[in-house]
Amino acid sequence: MKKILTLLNVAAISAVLTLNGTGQVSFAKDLLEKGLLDPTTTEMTKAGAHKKSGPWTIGMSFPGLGNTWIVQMVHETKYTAALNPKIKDFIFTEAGWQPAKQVADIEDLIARKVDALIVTPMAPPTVKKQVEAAVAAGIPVITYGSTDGLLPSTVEINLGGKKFGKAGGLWLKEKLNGKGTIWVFRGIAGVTEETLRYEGLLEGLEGSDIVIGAEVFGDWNYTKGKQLCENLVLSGQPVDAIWFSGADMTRACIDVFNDTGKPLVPMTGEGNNGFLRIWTENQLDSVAPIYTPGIGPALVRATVALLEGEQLYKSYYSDPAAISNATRDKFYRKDLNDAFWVTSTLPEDEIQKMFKK
Amino acid sequence: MSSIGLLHSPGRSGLSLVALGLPVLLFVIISLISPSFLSVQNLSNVNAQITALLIIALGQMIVAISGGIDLSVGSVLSLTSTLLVSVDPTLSIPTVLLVGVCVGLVNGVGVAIFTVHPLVMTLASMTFLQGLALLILPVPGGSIPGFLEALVDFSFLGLPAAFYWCLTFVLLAAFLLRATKFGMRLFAVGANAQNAARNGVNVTFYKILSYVLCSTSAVMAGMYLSARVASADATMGASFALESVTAVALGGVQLAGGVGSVPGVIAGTITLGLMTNGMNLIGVSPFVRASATGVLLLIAISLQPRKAIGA
Repeated sequence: MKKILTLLNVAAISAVLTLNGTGQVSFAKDLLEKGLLDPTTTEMTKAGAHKKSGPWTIGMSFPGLGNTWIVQMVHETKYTAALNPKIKDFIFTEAGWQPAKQVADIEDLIARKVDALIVTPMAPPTVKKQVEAAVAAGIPVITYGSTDGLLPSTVEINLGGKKFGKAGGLWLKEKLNGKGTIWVFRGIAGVTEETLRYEGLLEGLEGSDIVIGAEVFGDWNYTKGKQLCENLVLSGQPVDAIWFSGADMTRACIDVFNDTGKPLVPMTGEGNNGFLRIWTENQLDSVAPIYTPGIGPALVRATVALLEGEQLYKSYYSDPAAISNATRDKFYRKDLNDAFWVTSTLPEDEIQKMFKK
Repeated sequence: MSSIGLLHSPGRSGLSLVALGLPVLLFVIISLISPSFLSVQNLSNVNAQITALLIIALGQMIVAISGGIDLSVGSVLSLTSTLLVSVDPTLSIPTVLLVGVCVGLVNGVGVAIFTVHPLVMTLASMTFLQGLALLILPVPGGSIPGFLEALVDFSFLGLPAAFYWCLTFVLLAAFLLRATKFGMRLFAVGANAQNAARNGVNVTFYKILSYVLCSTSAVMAGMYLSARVASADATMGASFALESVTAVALGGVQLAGGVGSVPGVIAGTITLGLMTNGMNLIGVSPFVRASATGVLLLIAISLQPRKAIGA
């Protein structure tokens, strides 16, 4: 099925290249480098449907702050927006992980008469009415995150979700030869992305005799993850491997294992420099799916393309190969601090300014 | 009255120039900075956005006047949301109301009879109810009963449904506090429970009743908010516990009890609503937003010194 879809994409791109005769893909800009973000459909937006003369005001509604990935993503997003002289205002709102606040944020941005709206729904059902209202008002809505077709997004850009969780689940199944006890560190309860990652894990473990011995919500946070890991380690519960829903929790748990002198077990991670450092230093057995902070710039580029009147695919997905024991060293940056996340769209001097040790 | 005296809380209403002046000041500042602020659409948005908080803050005010605090209101709101999409639509309203009354009774009995500190009692129920809500509905979604959606989605005489929701609960709360024996005795209990008891007031009963009313207000807010977003979410109410306490504190309600008023709570809620709306319209960095709210609260509280009532 994936091959058929790829063939369809190639055919569609070739067709338009022929039509243009320029060799430039004016309708489907590379939002990020190929392999990092690719179309998942051949369906496209209508050419010129959202064309507006600048300068533009672009609004973005994000669920909330709380970890270094978000901080970097927000910075990369604003940096990309600032590079475009046609973007007069880029308004970033965050809802403090409160669904009701996100509803209010989107309403405020519509009232502010933004030219385009970027929405990362915390829970797609709760913002459906507001996204519908924006579309009805002629505002193109670019969504980031799994919406399962619930939202009438102009363009949907996605990453993580079930595939993120499944990558870790499949790796653990292979590492444990299909049997054993694992601990599961989840993200923030009630957040759709978190649930999808967990469902992906369960799919990955299907057909095995692996048992989930403990399941906790670490809020994707180093401090909370560390406290929970300390509790589990001190409780003496058996563990053969640990699955993490990402962010800073793996690093926290490795610190706990080291502090208590407990031998490390296979743990899943994420493409964070701090994790890559600790992975390198501890000879840990791990896998780290990449959840690129470049998604923010991709959202801005998609928004600009729509406002320029260009065509885009209706949906994109970021599913690069996870970092493995073999590829880890290509991604780890010794010169940068723990807060850096791969892969970044920032120029090197900006990376050094923000993340140099 | 001197200019300094105007800043102080006059009597048991707690109303002061600071409490009433803050929303007016914010209104003027935001309308000067952001041209879209005064649009009908935006003002209607602000009204809809503050409705759930106002309903809960009115409930919180009743508990605060009695000398308590209820941190479980947000979880009650979330639980209401999950129950609305999980039980038969014909039974949904009675079910959530019953749950609200039960939670209020448990909180009230814990505080008034078993003398558990209100913070500890309602923190425990908050945690329990939040877990229960996530158990019932781990993933947001579901369909809210159609009649409930219709109740938040109409306009009458050119005014949106949110306005009438606010009006209804404001009038109810004002009536309870000003025109009934309940209101008078509630102030007496909060000001000095021992004195109230010596004068024949059943302190235990009024304390329990205040928690029941507070939980019921959280249920009503949950019904409103779920219908407004046409969906349920087990974490929908998480921020309302602290926001409702902030709103009543901004409105001059003294958390030690015996002092508070409906106009003060309205002013406090509008202040918070305008802060959020204004910062979104102006485009204030999210990193600055939380701090700005904290600073505003600190200034407002500092300018409204506590006054002993009923000592």
